[in-house]
Amino acid sequence: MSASSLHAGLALEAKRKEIYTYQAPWLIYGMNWSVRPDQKFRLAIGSFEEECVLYLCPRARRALSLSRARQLSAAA
Amino acid sequence: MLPRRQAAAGSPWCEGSGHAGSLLPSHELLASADLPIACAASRRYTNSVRIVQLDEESHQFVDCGGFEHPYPTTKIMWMPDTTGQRRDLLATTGDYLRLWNVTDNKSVRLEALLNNNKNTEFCAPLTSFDWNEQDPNIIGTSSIDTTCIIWDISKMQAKTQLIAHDKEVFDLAFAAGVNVFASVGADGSVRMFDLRALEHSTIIYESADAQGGSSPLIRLAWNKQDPNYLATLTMDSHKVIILDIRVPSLPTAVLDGHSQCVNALAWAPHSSCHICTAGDDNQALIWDLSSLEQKSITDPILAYYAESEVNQLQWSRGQPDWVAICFDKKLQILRV
Repeated sequence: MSASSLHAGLALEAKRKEIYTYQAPWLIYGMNWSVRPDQKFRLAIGSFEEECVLYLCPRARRALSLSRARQLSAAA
Repeated sequence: MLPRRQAAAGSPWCEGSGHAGSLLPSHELLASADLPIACAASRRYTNSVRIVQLDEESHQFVDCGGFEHPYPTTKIMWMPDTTGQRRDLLATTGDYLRLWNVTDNKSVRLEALLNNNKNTEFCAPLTSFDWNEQDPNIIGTSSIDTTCIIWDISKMQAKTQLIAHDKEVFDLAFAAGVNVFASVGADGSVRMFDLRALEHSTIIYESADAQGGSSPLIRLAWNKQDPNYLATLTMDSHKVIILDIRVPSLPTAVLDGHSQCVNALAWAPHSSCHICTAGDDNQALIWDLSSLEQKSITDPILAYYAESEVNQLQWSRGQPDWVAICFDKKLQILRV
């Protein structure tokens, strides 16, 4: 690729960016795109910060019971 | 329709060619163990929701505002208002279903907290919900208490509550119209309901594990362009199951391209035969389902490699060229 076509390619890429990143202060879980035509590129994001687990989903529950089982077998 | 094509130069996506998944190191499986079906998990009001918008001049995301949320949100949805004529509403689930009103894209206030349990202070966490696209006054929520509730938000009350599954319900999705919806849950079944005849449901699919039992189904997405098709995710599975409601019991296709468990899925809003999936193998994959002759599809048409496990994925309905993913603390939007 010649220098000029490389330059043209980079300029085109800058004009038509393909990827944008937003960094939140917390782990993101919930997320959704706004649908309204007057609010393009608008999203809502929700944090996932847990301190006291009231309800565990099955994946986490199984992980905990697995580690508990390992502890028990190690103790025995 | 999304044409089958090669990824453009500069595109974040790689063209699928069967090697997807093999290039990545294996990751700690439990790193995001409690994310895919996140439920009410914290006692203090330390969680929050932010509204962000891409400034197309500066190419930067701008923080428009937000609010505190008790417990992490298990799902967030904007009102499916394609005209922009209705109020600017946002819904969240966690301990309850809440509606939030956004004014001038800046200030957000709680519009309503919807609770159908009048007798006790105990609340069963809501695992997910869907907002009916055809009638935005209807929202359906799923709960760990085995029930689904259909809400009428013009009256801010429940229309009906039904015992949908034998165990926890993890997700709910409306079909293209107003009346039909389906749910999945810990009992491993996909059940279809019709609001005009709630006395019975139709089991579309039941998962089976190696021991002859069932595996929980954690996510469900209904193809809005061709409502004969549904997609569902099995807990801890790297496969995606595609179902045809006209042919119950057996999957129409199985997407077998992720190397770790799949956490999220979204049908293309503008094409009946494209779906995007994302998972713990850091990948977001786009699949072409236009020819379903083969039962097992291993090659996606496009693959994107994120920096870490992808927990969330949404395909923009208003701008169908764009898919959004979340991994760790990052939100990324990708042009398809």
